[in-house]
Amino acid sequence: MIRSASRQALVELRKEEDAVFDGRVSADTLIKLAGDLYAVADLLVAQPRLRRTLGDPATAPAGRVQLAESLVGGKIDAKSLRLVTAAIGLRWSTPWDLTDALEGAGDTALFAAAEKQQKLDPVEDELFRLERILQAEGEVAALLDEFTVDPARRIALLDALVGSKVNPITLELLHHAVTSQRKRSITLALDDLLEMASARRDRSVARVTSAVPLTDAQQDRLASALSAMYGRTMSVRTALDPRVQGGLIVRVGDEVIDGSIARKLATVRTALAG
Amino acid sequence: MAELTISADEIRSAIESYVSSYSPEASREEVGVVAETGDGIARVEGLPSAMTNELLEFDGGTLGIALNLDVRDIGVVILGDGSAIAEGQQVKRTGEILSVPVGDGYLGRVVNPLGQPIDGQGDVEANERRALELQAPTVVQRQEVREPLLTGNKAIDSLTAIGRGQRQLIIGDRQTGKTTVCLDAIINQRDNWKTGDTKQQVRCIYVAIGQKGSTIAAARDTLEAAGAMEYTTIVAAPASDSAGFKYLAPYTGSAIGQHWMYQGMHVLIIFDDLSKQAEAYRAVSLLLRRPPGREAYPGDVFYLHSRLLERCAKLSEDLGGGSMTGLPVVETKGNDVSAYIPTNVISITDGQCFLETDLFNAGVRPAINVGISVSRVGGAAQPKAMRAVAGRLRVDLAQYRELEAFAAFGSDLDRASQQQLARGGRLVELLKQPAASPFPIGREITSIWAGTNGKLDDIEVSDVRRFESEFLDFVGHQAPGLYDELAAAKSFDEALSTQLDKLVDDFKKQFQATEKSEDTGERKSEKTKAPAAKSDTSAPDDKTAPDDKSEQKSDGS
Repeated sequence: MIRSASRQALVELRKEEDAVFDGRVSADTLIKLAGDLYAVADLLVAQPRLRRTLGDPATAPAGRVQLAESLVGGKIDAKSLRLVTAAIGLRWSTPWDLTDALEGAGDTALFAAAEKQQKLDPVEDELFRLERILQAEGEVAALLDEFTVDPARRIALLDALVGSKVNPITLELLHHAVTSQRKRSITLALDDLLEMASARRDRSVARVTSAVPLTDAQQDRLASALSAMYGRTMSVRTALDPRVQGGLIVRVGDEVIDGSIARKLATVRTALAG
Repeated sequence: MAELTISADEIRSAIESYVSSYSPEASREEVGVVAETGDGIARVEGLPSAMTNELLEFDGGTLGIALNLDVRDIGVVILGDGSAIAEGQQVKRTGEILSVPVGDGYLGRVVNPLGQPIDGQGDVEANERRALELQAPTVVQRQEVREPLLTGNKAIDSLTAIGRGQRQLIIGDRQTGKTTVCLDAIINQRDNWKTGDTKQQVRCIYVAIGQKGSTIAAARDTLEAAGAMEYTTIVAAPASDSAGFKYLAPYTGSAIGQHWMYQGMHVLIIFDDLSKQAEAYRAVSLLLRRPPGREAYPGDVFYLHSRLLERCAKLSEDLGGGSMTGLPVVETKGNDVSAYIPTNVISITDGQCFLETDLFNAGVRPAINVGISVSRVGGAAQPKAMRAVAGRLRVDLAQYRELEAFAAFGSDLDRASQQQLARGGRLVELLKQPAASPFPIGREITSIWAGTNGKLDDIEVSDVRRFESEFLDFVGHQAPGLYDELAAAKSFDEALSTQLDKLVDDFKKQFQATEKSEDTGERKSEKTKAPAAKSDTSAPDDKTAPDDKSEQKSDGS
């Protein structure tokens, strides 16, 4: 839950992000900026006193900004510093919201970089595939979520699984998602990243599960039908699951449209049993 | 578009190499940081693997318990002095769930809720520890309460008998003698202790929560003077202790007792008192920002007491047949038993002894209101002879109370009512008992027998207690084995009754009434009843006056 002061601050920060990550910045720079932002966020997570000082809405913003500049100025890129100081100068409901916003800015920078390289769609797709895989393989997800284990080992596990198969930007996003304490689980983090990626294209994700692969024509028809329903463009992500037996299950955000044969059979079964 | 796919083999080999790459590092220690502290509470960040109820160690060795495990931080209750704890200090895990050392080394000792001695008599020797939060025995691990736990208190043993493994609530306002009743019950276990037979012995634990240090010292002195300290452990969390200590003290006492119970021994534990513990827990909960409920107590205040009292049990023979009898004490305000904590604990326990201010002030001590006090399971555990002689007692007393209110208007009463009034007045007198002088069961039975069978009806009310004590001594001399016989009797048969009849007749011949009142007619003695009743309340016989004072003094509640 984000409280109102933090919500306003986030809106302000978004504007600042748009200004910093504008079209003229190269993809490599954006990746570097993301690294800086993650590093600052990690610093704040690790240092409670610093976080509480910098996120204290009761003190003068200028003083907080000065403190941040004296601490990280020169150590990170000037553009990153601009974003960090902008974030610190805002009013946050709790200091944690500040660190979360910085991590979010890092994610945004990576997505901007992907966009720059024309790779936003593959990145989104990879995130969706990995989400499916982790849902199917609970053991892997559990190992990645084991936050008492040294993060370096969990990153090694992740690299062993997907390191060579995904876009470097996806890998960067995943590395941070594994180590960050912000989301308590990798699947939740993936879910968020996926939403962020499609929101970047002014879309919503429709996660579709079917028993047989959908043809391109079917996908297009589904996308347009869903877009008409929700009043915004949908990016359809399909996955196969034989247990569906036939028909489709569509999930958009927190809403599920279940038109599967499996469900119909279950309904019939309960009706007969009753 | 190349889709991301990972085959099952790849996943398996990745997990295998991940697991096999694990090498236990020599000394990897998680440390957390104090984020904020105050009022005996600290919020600690880090320590992701801390367990609930784990002991955490602050700089300087102060301990705390992890109570709230939140997403990013832990709410810790500081045990002991929190003044040296500051923001930014390191916090270490101990890896130890809250537990205390247990064992026979605790007999005769005064300890704090962490099991550390505070009586200046050196370390407690113990080679076993027991976790504070362990589940109570299950249904199959228990058996019915059948053995008596005698308190040596005539009113309790006859009317609200307590069995081994029972939970009997002692409830009443401040200064009504709650603590005295409990301490007397401990003192009465002395004879059992001296037998050296573990099946008879009752180890006692007195948990003092939120009381004045002086009160605890006085209780200890009382027990010491009565020779009861050698089989008693005192767990003390005086008023000066932090709320965390006060909240833990009953669990510590219970853990020490459960250890003995599971070894097949009998334990009596007194929680004096649970309302203070509830208040301490309320303080802790509010500081930890748990949502307040009725009377600002947190939602789990019922569970706080129910899980504690459920651990008092009578174990099945398979588990050694040990027992732990609980006497929780709850203080009421203005004799209101319908407040939150009293109703909670009443519903958990197997009965209650209700002590009343009015009775206490009227000189009826122990001030047990026999009308409201009940024992739901103790009857089965009562010695047979006692059960037989005390059968009528409750009815007689109830009728007396009813008539007493009626007679206050001074109207003419019929003979039967006068008879009842006279009997009741004498029974009330008979149930009075000074502090720290428990009665052995044989004497109790004889005494109650005399009362319920009208043997006292021709004795002046003011003489009843003298008559009783002299008669009991007389029986002790004239029929040496009778008391033991009564205690062991399977039933109260004709033979016993005739023997007692004869003894009381013999004794009455030699008993001398205090005043030479020339009354021979019943009528006159009945007529003096009202003033006599008055005199027994206003001047509770000079003989017992000092006892009454000591009762008042040692009564901390």
